[in-house]
Amino acid sequence: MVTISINQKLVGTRKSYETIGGRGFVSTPSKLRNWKKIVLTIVIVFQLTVLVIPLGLLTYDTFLLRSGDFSFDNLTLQNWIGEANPDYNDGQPGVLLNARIWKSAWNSIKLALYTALFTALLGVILGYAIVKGRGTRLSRWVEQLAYIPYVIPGIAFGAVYISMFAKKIGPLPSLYGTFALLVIVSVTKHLPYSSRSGVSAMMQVGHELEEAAMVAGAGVWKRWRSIIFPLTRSGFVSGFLLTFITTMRELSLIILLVTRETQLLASQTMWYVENNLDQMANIVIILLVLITVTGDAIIGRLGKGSLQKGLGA
Amino acid sequence: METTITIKNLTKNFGNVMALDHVNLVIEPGTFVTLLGPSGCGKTTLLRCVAGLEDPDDGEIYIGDQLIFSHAKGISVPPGQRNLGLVFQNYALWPHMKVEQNITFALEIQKMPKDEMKKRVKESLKEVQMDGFEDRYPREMSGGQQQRIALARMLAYRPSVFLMDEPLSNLDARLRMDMRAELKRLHHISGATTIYVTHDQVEALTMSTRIAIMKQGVVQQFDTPDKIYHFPVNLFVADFIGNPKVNLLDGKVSGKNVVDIGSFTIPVDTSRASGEVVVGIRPEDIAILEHPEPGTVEFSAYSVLPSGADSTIVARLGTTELTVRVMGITKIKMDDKIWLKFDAKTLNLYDKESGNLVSCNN
Repeated sequence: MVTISINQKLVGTRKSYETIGGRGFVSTPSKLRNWKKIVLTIVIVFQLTVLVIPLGLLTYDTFLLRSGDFSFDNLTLQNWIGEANPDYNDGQPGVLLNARIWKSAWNSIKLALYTALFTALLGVILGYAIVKGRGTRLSRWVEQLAYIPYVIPGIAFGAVYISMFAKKIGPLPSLYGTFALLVIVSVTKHLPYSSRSGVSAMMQVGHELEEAAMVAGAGVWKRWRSIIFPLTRSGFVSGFLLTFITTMRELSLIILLVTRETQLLASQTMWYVENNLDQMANIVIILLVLITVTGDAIIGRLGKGSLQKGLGA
Repeated sequence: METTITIKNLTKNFGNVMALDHVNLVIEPGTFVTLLGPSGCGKTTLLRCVAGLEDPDDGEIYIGDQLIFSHAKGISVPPGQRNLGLVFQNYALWPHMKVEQNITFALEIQKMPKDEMKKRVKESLKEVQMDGFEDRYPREMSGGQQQRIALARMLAYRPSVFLMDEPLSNLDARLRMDMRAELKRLHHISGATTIYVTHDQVEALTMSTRIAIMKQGVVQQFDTPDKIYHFPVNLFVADFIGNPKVNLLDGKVSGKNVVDIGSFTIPVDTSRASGEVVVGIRPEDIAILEHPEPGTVEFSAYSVLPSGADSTIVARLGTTELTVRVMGITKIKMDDKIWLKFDAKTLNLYDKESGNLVSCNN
């Protein structure tokens, strides 16, 4: 709470600058000149060490029959597409042949999409409310409230939700074991990020753009649809993507809440690791990465449009 | 399109700051009224209250016969239903829409037929001399062009009231001159009652039918540019209007129609004044002579600043400093002896304590 307040003091009281005014703007890439090669090398080396090499090793590992033996005759596709065989992997079939995995993958995608959609929508609406009321006590209060999930560890958050929704308490329905509960907890957990991106997207839109629409006779719905939403679409998309990606790989938050029916890919990795099937856990991770990257690309493509054209981005 | 705007007892507070303090104005149909004052005087707040973007804490506003705001009766007509157009300081064009969409936005809301809309877009672009710009995005145009589009957007739906919030202050000096002429012309053609907010006195003096000078939420004077310039009702207005600034001299009424400044006296009508007063003299109302004459006062030229069309001379006598303005390039040089002549008919006399005008010889 203290750090949130400090952040608000620092960011909130400073004069904020609207970048999407009624005027256009031109982007100016900075020229690196001689630094170009050096910067490029640093970036490449960095990416190799933190990204390419670990992912490569992880992928290689999934083709090993016995973990840790890197010899050529130890290579196999058993972990990926092998029939169930009591001699290997405790009789577990290859990951791609396992119906449970496909169901989990579908659950993960569904959860990530729903969560991203609701979170991004809430983020934009919260951002609007916070920016409009900037300086008032209510606005500060709402902003702080949206931040609280940020400081609570995921696993503790899951525990709280278990006790809240395990059985019907007053108006709270019993949601344990339902998919809805996973969505609710994920949305709440990601609200800090999306409200942040909602606030920054809203801050960039000059208030007179909405006022001009008011004077032109546009009602609330028309203003949102034609002015506010198109102009904050990049904020919405980035909130959506961020939530989509983090929800896909979120483990600690949902580990206590998933049941047989609501298994997710992330919780499947946990199950494989618990059963000493590291190679298969790695396959699930690769699947996760592939789904996430593909989703990211598709959403990113869909999110582009007239806005980028109009704003010259 | 002849619409009166009546503002009664309008009051607006922001926290402890009184932005509008019981403002009363009647804006005659078809006039061009400027709200002028230093920043924070409440001029923009007043405009926003008329537009409906701000709800006052008290008072009433009428546009024509329609009561559009009343605190007592709980009426606040939404901005879109007040039949007014608003031009913003930073244009406020919607950056994700082309010029055409920017203009048709309001027309679509009014459910205007497509071909009528097309006609209106063409007409309004022509009126601001921007024909052929339908397919541009705002960022593809210069500031001046964007402001013209903002004007076209307002003209297209033909509101009976134009509201403008410092529309020229983001433009460079030269463009501002052109746009002034353009705006005055547009007002002349459309006949729409116009409220124009600015802190630029030249803009106000050159364009307005009447000017309302504001300070701390109070209208100080609401009058024609001529009256505002020549007969400011108080020291604030006198000091605010005019460049170079008016000369304000502290003095005492020392006899019938004589004010003692200290080192010299000035002839002025003192029939309604007594005691401590301030004499207001516009720099161009002082005559400079190169030889003494009866009724002149000897000064020395402290500084001479010719600027082509006119010259400004700073004259000194002891600690008294006067700014004098003469037409053309003056022959006077620095440290020359000069003799100043005051014309009682052009002087204004203010009460020192209240700062109010007590006599103006008109």
